Amino acid sequence: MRGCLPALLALILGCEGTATPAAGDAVADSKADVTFETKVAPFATKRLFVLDTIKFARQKPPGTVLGWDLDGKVSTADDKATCGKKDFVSPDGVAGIDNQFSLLVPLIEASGIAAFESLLQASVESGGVLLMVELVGLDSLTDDSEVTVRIRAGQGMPLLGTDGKVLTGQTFHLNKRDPATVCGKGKLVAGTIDVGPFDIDLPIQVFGKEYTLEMRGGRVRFHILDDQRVDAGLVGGGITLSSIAKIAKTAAEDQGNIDDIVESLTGTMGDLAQDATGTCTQLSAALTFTGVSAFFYPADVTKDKL
Amino acid sequence: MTRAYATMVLLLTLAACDEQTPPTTTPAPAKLQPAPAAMPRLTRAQYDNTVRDVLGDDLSLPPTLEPDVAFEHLLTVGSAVAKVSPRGVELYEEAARSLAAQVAGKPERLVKLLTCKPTGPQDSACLSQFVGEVGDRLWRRALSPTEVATIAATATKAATALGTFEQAAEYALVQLLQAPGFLYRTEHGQADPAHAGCKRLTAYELASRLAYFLWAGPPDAALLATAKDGSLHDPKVRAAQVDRLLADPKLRRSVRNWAGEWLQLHDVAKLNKDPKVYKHFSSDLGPSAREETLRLVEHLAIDTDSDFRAFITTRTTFVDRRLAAIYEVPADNEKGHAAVTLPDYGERRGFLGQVSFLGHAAHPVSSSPTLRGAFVRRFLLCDFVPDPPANLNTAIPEPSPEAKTLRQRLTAHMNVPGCSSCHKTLDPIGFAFERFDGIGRYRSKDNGEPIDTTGDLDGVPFGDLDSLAVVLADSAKFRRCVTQKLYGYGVARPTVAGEKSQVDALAATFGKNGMKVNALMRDIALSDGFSRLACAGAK
Repeated sequence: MRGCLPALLALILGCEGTATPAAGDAVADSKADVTFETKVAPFATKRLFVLDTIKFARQKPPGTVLGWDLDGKVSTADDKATCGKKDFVSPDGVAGIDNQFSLLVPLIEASGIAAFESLLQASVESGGVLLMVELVGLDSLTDDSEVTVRIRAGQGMPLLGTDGKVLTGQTFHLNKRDPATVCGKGKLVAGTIDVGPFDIDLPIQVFGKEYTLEMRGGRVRFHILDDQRVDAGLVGGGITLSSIAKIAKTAAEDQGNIDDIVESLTGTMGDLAQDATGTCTQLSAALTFTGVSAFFYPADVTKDKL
Repeated sequence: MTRAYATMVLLLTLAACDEQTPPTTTPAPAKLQPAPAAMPRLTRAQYDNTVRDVLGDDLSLPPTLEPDVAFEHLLTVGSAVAKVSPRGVELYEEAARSLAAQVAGKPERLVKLLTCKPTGPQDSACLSQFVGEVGDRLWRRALSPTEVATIAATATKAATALGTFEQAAEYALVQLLQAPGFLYRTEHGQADPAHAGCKRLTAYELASRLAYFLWAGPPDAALLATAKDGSLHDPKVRAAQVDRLLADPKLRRSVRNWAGEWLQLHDVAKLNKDPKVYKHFSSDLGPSAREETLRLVEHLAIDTDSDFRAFITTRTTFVDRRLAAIYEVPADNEKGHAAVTLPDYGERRGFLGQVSFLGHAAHPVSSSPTLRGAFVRRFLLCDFVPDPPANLNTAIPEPSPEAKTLRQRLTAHMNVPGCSSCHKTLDPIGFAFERFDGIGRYRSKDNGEPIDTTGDLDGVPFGDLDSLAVVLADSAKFRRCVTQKLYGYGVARPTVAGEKSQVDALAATFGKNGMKVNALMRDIALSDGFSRLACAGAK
């Protein structure tokens, strides 16, 4: 059971951003004339940040939670289009927030598997969930009229710092299931960017098993602190219940009747993408994250790995 | 050989060593005045390489031996002045017994060393042959018939008591491996026909010095053969042997050994940082940083035979994932070190941009312009830098509104009487590195303030590490310092004032020839100072 949960809920993002160093080795052709100049690093127009912490967006107080208005309307308990699921309010007062998954968090914790979130974080630190956000076409780290955001996936065991978290500036292989999904183009305003909607299939590995989490109509937002870190990250969207069921079924091969448990927990929680039969086929969800700078290995190194 | 006997021999030898500590303060003469004879003890690296080269490279080497000590910052030079403690003597004996048992206890090892087939436990002819042949390699000279007979007789007694030839061989090896002839590079010298009243190394001593300089290990059979027939004193034969040694893969281990000693990489391997301050620290960072520096030296000195100024200025380095993360560059290799090119717009370049320097010459919780400046002066410019007096308060002022950055605090400290004389020569160099924290990561601010990295090196201004590297690499002092460190490593004893002209000449040639380390090693190995000993009446 525990092995499946991070996979179920790890909706996230990722990107690459290789600030490839300029070539040219100034091998010792130095002269004694000491006219030193102040060199200015060319601005790296592409940046990659690997998500180093991922947490559930929790309701606090009840009814208030981080997330997005994914369906563009404020739903009430009698709204048939959302299968009777009432929307929430964001901490800054925005109504219509779709995050039904936030209702599951206390249930999961009450069920005695409160380490669920820790397990998700452990998956980040062991390389099972190596998701990245990539910024392309950057002209500034604070304000830019158009920046493309992509979600990428890495592969490999991260180096951890003395604080136990993924180290800044390290290099990863590109995941063979890298979604390379363009989340969209957006404006960078005071270091914050918000893009979407986008559909993405997120590759996740838990206890050696590979899963795919399907997110539809997703959105992502984060703030660039400096050239090494991002924070205030929020990613969310509609998780297809079919992908959740598939994950549960795969996990059940090792984890007993987990598929039944998951079905009972999520089967009636859908609030988005109602089908012809009136069933809501997606579960709205949102996770918060922070990230640190990262690189990808050159393609030839990764090719051998894959 | 009993333990008491071995101990006595060692101690007597050491007592003799003491008297040979050469002077270092006499005025520099115009012509070479060679140093007196010395008797360097094998350093730990030389000991290990000798055992491996002669007895087999699969032996388990002793975990502990008498520690090496540095003199003129080099362990190899320290080996000529170091003493051996009583415990050290015991350790050498334990090591000899362990190594001998490993050789004799495994038939395939012993058979490789035997050129005769023993007919029985007391085959004294075969045993003497074994002692003579292996002894020649271990002692790096031909054993006299008396020496062979003495060792073989003791070993034969063991065979009589214990019943096997293997045990005879084992006892012979025990004697060979704890004898001064093995543990020391004895250099008594002989009359130098080219310089009346002076001495030169014997051919065997010269062969050993060449081999330990260029291979960090013992002479091979071919080199010993030129010593045996005396032809090694012929300049052409000597040059041919030097070229042969330089072309051998074992050159690599000596270059690494030299660089490790020169740049204090044994300390880098033990790098320790406060994990609360430096998240990138881990116990494997020190060894990784050490390897990075060694790879760079190998790359320049052997693989590409490059101008060695690049050691200070190159943008090429060799990183693993952890170092790449510290340098904020993409790694190029999942496991181990691989070459990467640092951005040419950045300050980080050469050895001074490596963790081996930036992390080593720093405090566990902070950077240190003083330690970094002192390192540059001591090891790259060969300046004398005294340690601070024991009773001096070296604490620098805490951050204040007036002095937030370390540079500002140190500048205030420079005005303290008793501190200023040293700090004024060290800190202006060390400020160049202040945009790198105590583990070597780039930072743009110190305590929230912009960092001033300008300074001067003996009056030549620089803007930061990037431009300091150019100034330093081109300085005559750096060129001479590299020469001095390599020469000292080669002769394996303190350099005396009478050799100044020799080192100066080598440094000048080094510069003219494009600062190729390989060529410098050749010049040193063929120099007069390398093979000559002090003349009669020399102080």
